[in-house]
Amino acid sequence: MNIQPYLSFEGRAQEAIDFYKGAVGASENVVMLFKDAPPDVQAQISPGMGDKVMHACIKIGDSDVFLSDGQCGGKASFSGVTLTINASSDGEADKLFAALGKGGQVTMPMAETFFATRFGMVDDKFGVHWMVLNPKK
Amino acid sequence: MRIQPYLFFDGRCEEALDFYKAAAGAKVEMLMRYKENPDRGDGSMEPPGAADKVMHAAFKIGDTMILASDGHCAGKPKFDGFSLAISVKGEAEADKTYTALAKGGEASMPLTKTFFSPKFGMLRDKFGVNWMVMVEA
Repeated sequence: MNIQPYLSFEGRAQEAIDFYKGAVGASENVVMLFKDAPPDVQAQISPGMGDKVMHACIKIGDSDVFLSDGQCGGKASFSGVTLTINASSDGEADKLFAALGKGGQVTMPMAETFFATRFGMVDDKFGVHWMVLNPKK
Repeated sequence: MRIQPYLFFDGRCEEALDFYKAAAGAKVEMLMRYKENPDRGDGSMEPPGAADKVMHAAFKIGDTMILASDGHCAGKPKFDGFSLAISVKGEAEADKTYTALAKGGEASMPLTKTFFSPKFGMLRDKFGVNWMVMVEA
């Protein structure tokens, strides 16, 4: 049994995928656009959504993350969830933190805590909340 | 490097953990209450009345670790912009997992055959967490 987070970017999924490729070295496993859906599914799709992302799977490190443009409402909004990213060194953690924060907002600057040599929180430019850390062993 | 989803239950974390143990066979690997925080000091940094609430917990469903917390303990958990996609091995397991997770919640899309999975459904559990349940193709 496997669980993956599935994020809805409401129209900005491809932009997000490209951003995560640069920021955290994500790689694309699957990108399926609405126009690639079988004909019976196509009938339910609103005009203008054809080039939007129906389903995508990207790999960040060892983890799979799913993305979609959802209802293509135009404004993504994320509540109640944060994605944690575990780096293996302080340098890597700092680099990921800076990259994810580009165009976004730092909510807690990187610092040492009782559980991590580096820990910080940042909202990326799409509104996804991240915790970046190098955990103490 | 790995990514883990971190869910904020705003005061209902322990209730949620008990629910996921029963509904999805979750195993709690770690649970720290606000009163156990090594950096607690005089407790003025934590939400009022939160001493017994969950500052941080880690639970495993299948092979996946999910993190959870009571966060600000305001009593109003809100989850938006994401789902957790759970992939199971067979239709019987999908039925069982879907029914259990939907108890007290809302079946947003009943389990049905789709072009990408023999059985796929969506629900919102009693805490407001959105789930997609699917049988691996």
